[in-house]
Amino acid sequence: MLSARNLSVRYGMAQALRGVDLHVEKREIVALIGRNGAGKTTLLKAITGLVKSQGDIRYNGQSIGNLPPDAIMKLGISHVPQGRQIFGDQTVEDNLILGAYTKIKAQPKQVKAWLEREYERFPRLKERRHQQAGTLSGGEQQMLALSRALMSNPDFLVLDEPSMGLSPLYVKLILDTIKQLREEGKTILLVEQLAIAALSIADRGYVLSSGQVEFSGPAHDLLHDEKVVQTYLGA
Amino acid sequence: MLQAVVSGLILGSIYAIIAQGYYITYITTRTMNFGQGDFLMLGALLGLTSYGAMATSGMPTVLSILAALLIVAAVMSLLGWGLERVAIRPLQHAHSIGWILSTVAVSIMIRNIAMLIWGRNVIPFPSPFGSEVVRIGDVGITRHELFIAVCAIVIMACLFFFLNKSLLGKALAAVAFNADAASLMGINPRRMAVLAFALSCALAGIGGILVGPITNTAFFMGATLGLKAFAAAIIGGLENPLGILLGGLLLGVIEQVFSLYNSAYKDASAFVLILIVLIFMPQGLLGKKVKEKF
Amino acid sequence: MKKWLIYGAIGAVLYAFPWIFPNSYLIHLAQGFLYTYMVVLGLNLLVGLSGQLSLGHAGFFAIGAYVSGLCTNAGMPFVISMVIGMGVCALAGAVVAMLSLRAKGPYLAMVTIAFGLLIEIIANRWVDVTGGPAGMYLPEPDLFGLPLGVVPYYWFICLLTLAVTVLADNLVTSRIGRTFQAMGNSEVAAATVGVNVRNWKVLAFALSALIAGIAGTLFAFQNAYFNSDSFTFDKSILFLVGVIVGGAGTRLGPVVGTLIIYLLPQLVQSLYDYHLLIFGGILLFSLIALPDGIVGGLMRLKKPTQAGQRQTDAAVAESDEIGWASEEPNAELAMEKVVMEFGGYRAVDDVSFACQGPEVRGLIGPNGSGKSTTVNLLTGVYAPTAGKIVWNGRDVSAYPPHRMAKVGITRTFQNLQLFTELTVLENVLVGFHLHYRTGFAANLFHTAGFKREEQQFREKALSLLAFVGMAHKAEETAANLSYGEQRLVEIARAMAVKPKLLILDEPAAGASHYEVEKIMKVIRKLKSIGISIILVEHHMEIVMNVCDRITVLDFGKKIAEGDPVHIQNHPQVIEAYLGGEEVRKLVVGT
Repeated sequence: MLSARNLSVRYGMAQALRGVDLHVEKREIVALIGRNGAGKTTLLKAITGLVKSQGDIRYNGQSIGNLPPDAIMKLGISHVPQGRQIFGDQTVEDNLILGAYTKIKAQPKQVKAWLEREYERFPRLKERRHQQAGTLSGGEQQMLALSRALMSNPDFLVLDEPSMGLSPLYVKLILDTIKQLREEGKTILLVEQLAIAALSIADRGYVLSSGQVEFSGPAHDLLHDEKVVQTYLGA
Repeated sequence: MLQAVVSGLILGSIYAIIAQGYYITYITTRTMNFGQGDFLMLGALLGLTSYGAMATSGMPTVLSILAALLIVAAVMSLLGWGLERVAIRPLQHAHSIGWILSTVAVSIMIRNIAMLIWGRNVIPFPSPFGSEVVRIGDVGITRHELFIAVCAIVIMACLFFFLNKSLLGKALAAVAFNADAASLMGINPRRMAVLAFALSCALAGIGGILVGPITNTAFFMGATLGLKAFAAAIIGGLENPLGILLGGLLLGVIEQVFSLYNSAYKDASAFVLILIVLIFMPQGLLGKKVKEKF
Repeated sequence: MKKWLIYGAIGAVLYAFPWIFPNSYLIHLAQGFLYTYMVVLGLNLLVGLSGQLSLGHAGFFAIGAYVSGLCTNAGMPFVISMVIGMGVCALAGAVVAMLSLRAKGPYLAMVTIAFGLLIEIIANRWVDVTGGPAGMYLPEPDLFGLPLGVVPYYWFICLLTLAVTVLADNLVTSRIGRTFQAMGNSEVAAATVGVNVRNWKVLAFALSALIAGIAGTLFAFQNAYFNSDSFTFDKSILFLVGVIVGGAGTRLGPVVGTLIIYLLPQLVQSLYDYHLLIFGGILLFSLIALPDGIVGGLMRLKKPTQAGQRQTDAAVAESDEIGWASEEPNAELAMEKVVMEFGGYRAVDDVSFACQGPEVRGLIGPNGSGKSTTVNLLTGVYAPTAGKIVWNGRDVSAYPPHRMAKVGITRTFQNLQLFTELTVLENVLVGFHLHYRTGFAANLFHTAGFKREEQQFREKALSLLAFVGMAHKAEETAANLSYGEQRLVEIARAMAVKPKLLILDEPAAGASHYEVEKIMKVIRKLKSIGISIILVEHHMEIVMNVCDRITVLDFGKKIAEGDPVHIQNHPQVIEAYLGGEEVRKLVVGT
């Protein structure tokens, strides 16, 4: 469904990614793990157009390398950025409406149905629909960020550290939601600091190190590979 | 005194219209057109010329005015688009105050061009409504001032509706809050920036037409008006359109009241006012208190 | 020494100029160039270095001109008048700075614009005193009785320009300049290492205004006549153009910038009808083509080779020594019924806890439970709405961050706050702020004492960097480090404050395994030398391993306190925070 070949990104003098190859098949959960600064977030940003990259990125066969983010999003890739990045000064509902910005003119009825779907997924959001998003707790903000990304009904979800700064209860909720989304037919690329948690819900995994893929394979194998466990999972 | 207050409110509403332009571009791009005053000048002169052309060709007054307003708004929007392209976008990645100077650079070029076209002298700009005075109690208002008041109310109402209720307005606010996240929603931040500058310049142009008949219209008229509108925006709180409206009105009234005493006081009062406001309310009257998180 | 050779050469060229070009127009031009350069140099200290903004520098220029002019006309000697002018300007600068202390960005710009315009209006309209547009006539300047004709006056300007340049350069390369730059990069971080940001801002403004005042005086006496037309808003903009186009924050920038703003208009003046068009076009082009200014752009071309070389020079082995211990290991901190409200929302709600050093205290809790607010309260970033914070028996509730640093409390930041434009080493040097003993004059003149002290702190800073394992990057610009490295440098910088209590706000957020080890080692070491630590952290592994006691917050309230074993088995904590066995497995992976 999505493939990246020989992907490189430079920030000024520093090389953040060096020739990464990666592919994600339909209805997979693929986990991307690795130390801080390994280039995980950069890889996601390159895919969704937030940073410029060299190499070849294809989505459903179409080359999307260096398209602007708003164009890539319209193809059905939704990115939940690190740190949630909700629009804090607007209401919960306006945040969700903005998530459907590209669809609302053409399919207003559909958007309404999707809004109800998200409220059903997270009833907490419905309770707080008229509240300013910035006043939500961290966990609620993460729910909102996820729902906002789902409001365009994407096929492909890119999640950047959805567990960051959350207490374990919320982490479990978010991870359960990710599993459920796969059941709904979504394809998911997940970056996580909590490597074991991520690998335990993923089908396959990539371990990044210094901007390169160090290990890759079925999640189960990575979890039980002594070397991976020792170097990266640190458990 | 009451007379001064009323004419102050009318002058202030023009400041407010121009100042809303600062607001829109500031929230979307964190930049402003420091040459807003010269765009206002261009709007005034362009309005004068196009109105004159249409009125002499025999169009009815009201139609000519509307046409002139439309022409100015269109031309200024186009210029706003150009300004964003030339002076804002190329400097966006430089974390500096370069945009202050680049917009000033564009504006002095415009000033020069306007001087070449319209000459160096003050051009008479008679109001199409004549200079008749309408009396309401003790207060005399010219018909042009009434026209200003009506325009200001209509413009403000449209603007507030656009910003708060329309999808485009919400998208603008989203870009303002976090441009990267907005682009992930499929909102094109560059297009929003262009939209903001087009709107901002159109507002300046319309402000120019309104203010033309009550001031000296010439190529050098912009600088002071632009700065006063900026002062109005800052007094009210740059990130709050309601505050800006309030700031504009307040500034207009104070100026007119002080001008009863001495014209030197009139100019000074605006800047004394701003110093006083900022000492006690560093975010302006209705500005958001920024709570920084560490 | 090389420095003095360069200054000498410049001095010689300036001295010889009137003989090479014995033309009064050119000498006049050179005079104008020099005093304009001086204003730009002063403005560069403010804008380029300390990150503030002034769109009203023509106001200071005017004050210098009028005050010295009035004094001379009142019968005072020229030099005395000039000194008075400088003093009044410095004072005016300080006042403007104080008026605008809380204002930021466009608001700060507006304060300076308003100041500049007010001065302009006064100059224009207070005709009895200033002469207004009709102008003010002055006697020929003299130096203690020695009349200064055109050429001697030119030399006098040269002398002052050189002196101001040398001193400004000294200042920039001393700790004063470093502090300005640190403040420009991150005010809050500067404050938490003890910099009184308010005073330093005032100082920067006053210095900048003082230099503009000298230039104003020199301008006023250039023709023995001047009027109010010279102090417009456009002039303020022009000065700023000089700074930005030349290259803000660079040492050569003002020279190049002045060439553009002073000589270029003279060249295109003959094309009177088009000169604004041409000037605007050139300005726009240079801003787009060289956003860092001309000198900044050239330096960028040169940089890569330099950085690589310097790195190898400074390679220092890792060490375990930091060379000092806390004199007062039994420091005691108490929060008493502290409340922090934001618009009706209670982020911290009636929290009390005490911490007796040396101790490592964990502060944990779900997101939004008030940990970060607590840290901000303890370091003076916020003042509590109600309740008290007591430190060694003293009520410090209302202390701002720099006073907290002074009594021995400092911190690191969850969202990194390094001084990004400074090198790693310089970051740590700013951390020593409270321990520097040399005064302003020593830094201005680069005295022997200044050099000794600088050397001494450089060594100390290097050993701190070696301690956190970052010595090999000492000469790297902080912005080029990875996040984990930046966290380590923040710790080193905080250690330079020599605190009695160090608050680490999520030091391991996003850090690698190696860096986590390093951070744990640092914490243990600090405790062993008698420093107390408050550790805010989400990584249970670290918290349970290094903390003596743990305080748990939930929804702004303290829900539990005790040693790690107690906390791990506390039912309410498990419920609220750890969420039972299943999630714990999922998250901690044990």
